[in-house]
Amino acid sequence: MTAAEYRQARSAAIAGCDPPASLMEDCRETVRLLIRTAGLPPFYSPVGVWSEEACEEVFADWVAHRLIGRGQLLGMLQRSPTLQVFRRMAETSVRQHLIDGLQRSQSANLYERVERLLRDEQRFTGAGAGRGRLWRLADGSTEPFDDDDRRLLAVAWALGDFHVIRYDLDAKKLSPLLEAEELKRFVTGILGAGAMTIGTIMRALQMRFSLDDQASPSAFDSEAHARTGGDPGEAATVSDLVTSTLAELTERQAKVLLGLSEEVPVRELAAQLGCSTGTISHEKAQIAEILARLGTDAPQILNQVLDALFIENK
Amino acid sequence: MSCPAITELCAAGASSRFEDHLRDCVRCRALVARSGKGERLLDDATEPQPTAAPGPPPKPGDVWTFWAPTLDELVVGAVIEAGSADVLLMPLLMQTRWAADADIGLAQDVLGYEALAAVWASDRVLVEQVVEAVSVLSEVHLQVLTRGYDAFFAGEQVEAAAGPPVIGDSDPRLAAYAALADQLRPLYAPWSLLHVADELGPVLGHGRQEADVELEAWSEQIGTDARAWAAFEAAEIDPYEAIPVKTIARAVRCLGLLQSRRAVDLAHASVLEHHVVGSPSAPKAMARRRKGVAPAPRRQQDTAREAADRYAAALEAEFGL
Repeated sequence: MTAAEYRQARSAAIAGCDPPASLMEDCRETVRLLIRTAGLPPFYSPVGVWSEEACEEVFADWVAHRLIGRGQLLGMLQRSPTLQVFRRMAETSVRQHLIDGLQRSQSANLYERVERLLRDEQRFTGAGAGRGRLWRLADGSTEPFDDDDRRLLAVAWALGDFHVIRYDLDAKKLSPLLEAEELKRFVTGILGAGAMTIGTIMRALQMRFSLDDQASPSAFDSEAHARTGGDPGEAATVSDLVTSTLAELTERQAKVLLGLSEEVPVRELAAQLGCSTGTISHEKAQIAEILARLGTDAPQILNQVLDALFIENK
Repeated sequence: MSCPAITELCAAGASSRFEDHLRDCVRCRALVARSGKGERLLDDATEPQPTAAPGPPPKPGDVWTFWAPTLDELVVGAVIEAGSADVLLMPLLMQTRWAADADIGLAQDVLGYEALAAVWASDRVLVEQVVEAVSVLSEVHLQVLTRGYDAFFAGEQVEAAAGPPVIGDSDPRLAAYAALADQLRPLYAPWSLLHVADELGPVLGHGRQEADVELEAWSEQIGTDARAWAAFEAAEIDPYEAIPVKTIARAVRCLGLLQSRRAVDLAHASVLEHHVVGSPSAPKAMARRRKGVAPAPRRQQDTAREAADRYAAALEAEFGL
């Protein structure tokens, strides 16, 4: 697609016409090239590896659900005066679509984990039976939480940042949405607002982490994720993960990462980057989310990402 | 400017195409160094700066796109108020993740996609920053946004807020707002830089000091007398008599300010305030006023207005407005 064709397509779509085939073809090309240039890690694929079929599946799902179903193509076109900007937004959009899917697929066993946590940990105690059983902190208030969803979500937000989703290069099953300690911190924090049922705790988790209700885990090809130590292809996979991690970072996040690794004080870093200290906190949290998705491989990948940045920063 | 798309960054010829960006961006340099040559073909066409689409100017309830010199993405915003020189806009965001009690949610049937009206991030932009109308809000939605705006800036609760309030310092939405405010700052900068004073001289003086340029070097750069310019910056001189319009236009451009209706209005105000009829020269009049030994000659308002109108019209033409 040329810049002139894009301008024409954009004007037509903003005026209410259907997006032309050439624009959708450019979107398909974005997905294909993003995968070929290692812009997306393999575990973002619905089948664990990138193949032509996986690529086509992702494209179709992204277009159907996000671009057309949720109307985001129009929103992206409105904000993108040029093809260059549109392609960047398309990359961000497809990446976010895959991350959201990954998050949803990993939320199914959460109920069971919360129930086990409440039962096994001495800091929690319950009264009542069945689904109506009210859980509370052993040293906390017995008053039931009877506020609305809005208040529940406010309490959940007030617990601060959580590192969600971890992925292990050698994982053969789904990784937890929240690591055990993080889940414990969340449940402890939310029960600080009053006694509640597991259903209410689950509701808080769903709202805070934008999880869909799901009866069963989505299909997941565990073999596709299964990899063994000493795999000759592992170095190449790690290298691709470094590239995809770099691709996921913004320019400012890369600079924040460099600054933090050199132990530059936050205020000084904010001054250097011309932003507020709040923005630095936000970027740190975003980096942590990206790294959390790498799970136990995060330290190795992070080291190589930093090496790549240091070399170019000399 | 933001980073290019990865698929373009890795395309053949990207190094020369994105030379300026790569010079400043360590992240993109690292990516280019790791990537083989991609297949995407880059269009060499240089994109012109967005300009306002022809048609009626924005009015309350319209949804327009807005640009700023240092942003490559447009911002979509609802027009809350519209004047001849500026527009009060409320940004409409596609990212709804950080919704709180100072945001209003707009369902998909309003704009065609779910959006978040960031009430707290509303501010003014110059009319020269409007690009194109993309939608129109219903009266009901305009009312909801306007009431939300009035309530928020009166310190009251926003009705129909999209999210729960922030009740603790560790809420990550606080940092997300800080990041969004930083992201929107370039959008609002052209307006705020032209509102540090009510006359053009002090506004340009503020811009020069922000740019850290010495008066002597500055006057040489724009080709004017340093003493006259200093008096202009101090709001003590009539630019109609002392500063040619071309010099003003050059100063505005050199300082990176937007050539705008607001700058013209400021020039008009400067002339209107300091134009002295019948004085042999402006500097003498200025000196008398400063010392306070003699009252300023009686100004004839009509003549001053005529001079201000002429000066403003010439500047407007120079800006190409």
